[in-house]
Amino acid sequence: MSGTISVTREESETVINIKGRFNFEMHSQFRAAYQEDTGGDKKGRRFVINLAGTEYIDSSALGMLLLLREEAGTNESDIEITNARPEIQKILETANFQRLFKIS
Amino acid sequence: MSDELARKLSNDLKAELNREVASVRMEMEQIRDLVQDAIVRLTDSFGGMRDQSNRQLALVTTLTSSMEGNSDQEEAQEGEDAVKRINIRSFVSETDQILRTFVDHIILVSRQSMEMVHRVDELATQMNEVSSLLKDINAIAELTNVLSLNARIVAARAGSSGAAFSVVAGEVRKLSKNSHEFSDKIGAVVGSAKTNIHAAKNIIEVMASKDMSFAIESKGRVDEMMEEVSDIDRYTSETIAQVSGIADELNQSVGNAVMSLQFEDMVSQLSASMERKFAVIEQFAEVIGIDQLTDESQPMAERVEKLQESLNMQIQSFDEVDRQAVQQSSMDEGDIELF
Repeated sequence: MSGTISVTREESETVINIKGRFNFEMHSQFRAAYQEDTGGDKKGRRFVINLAGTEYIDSSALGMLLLLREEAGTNESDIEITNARPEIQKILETANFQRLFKIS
Repeated sequence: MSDELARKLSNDLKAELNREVASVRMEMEQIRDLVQDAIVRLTDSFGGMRDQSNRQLALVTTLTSSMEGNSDQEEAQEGEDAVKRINIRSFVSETDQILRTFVDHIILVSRQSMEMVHRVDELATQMNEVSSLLKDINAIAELTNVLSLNARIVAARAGSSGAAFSVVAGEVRKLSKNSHEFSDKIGAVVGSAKTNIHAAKNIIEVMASKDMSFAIESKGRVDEMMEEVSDIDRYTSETIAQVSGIADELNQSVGNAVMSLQFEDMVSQLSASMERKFAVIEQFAEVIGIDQLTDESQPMAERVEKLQESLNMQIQSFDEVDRQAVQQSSMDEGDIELF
């Protein structure tokens, strides 16, 4: 029982919507969702990770988000994590993600 | 005869007066000594109380400063055993730091694992490519086999002149068969590589996937502890403030008590004044002799006048002593020295 991912692409922004459980099983889907928008000359693109429908995340999801950040250009990356429910918000805070991502 | 009796009575009266005055004077001296003795002891004892209260306050202050933050620790570092004091606040923040490091570590492991999984996925894709390449090789082998079959048929039609060619066709067929076997073996290796890749992915999954609720709970507990430590600190400093307030009040009270004990001076002065008055009273016995009144060799009016004169002098000298005493005590009242 894992989640599903849908992607909306606009001119300079990629929105990745994650529903259900965001765990290890999602790694191929998640990578596929951003891979074509990262690397090479694609830097400077904005990513929005919409956790509105996300029920659960574990450490592998945190690892995936860190990898996305790296592949999107680490410090030049512009990644926003939105609509996380309170439990997930707490996990993000405990992991100190507010220093690396914009959390709203 | 009556003169002699009168003189004796007069002497007896003087003697009795002196005896009584001496008795009162002795008791007065006892009182003075008792009071002075008590004052010395009370002063000592109040001084001791003040010292003890100051020591108590100092002890409580050191005890609490050892429980507080870093600024106090820096001061404490001058004493050797002061450094090793228990510091709850730094213990809790140390725990918080360890927890943070632990969480960071878990996330780092997950990040590395996810990167590894991407590599392993790429490896799996490459293995699939190998499989499809093997299919191409098999197709070539199949084609070669067909080719060799055709060659044999052509060779058979050619008869004896084609015999040598038939041998070559047989070798080509063997080659095709070998290459088929070879690619099957590679296929088997690729298959087991895929199995290994799958197993590796399972291991990585376990490594990468940690439930984060433990971190949240631990963090919550550490935060609670921090809160409690702050409460304790607050309570402690309030208590210290109270203790030091009480110590101040105690000092004040002791100061007042010690100040009040300076009535010792007044006691000395009063007893000195009483001493002088006793002297005057003793003089009274000398001045007013009963024999003067009964001395019939003088006219009555003269005796009374002389006695009246003596009484006036007595009153005058007593009043003078009394005035000195009043002056001194009123001056000292506003002039109590503070310790």
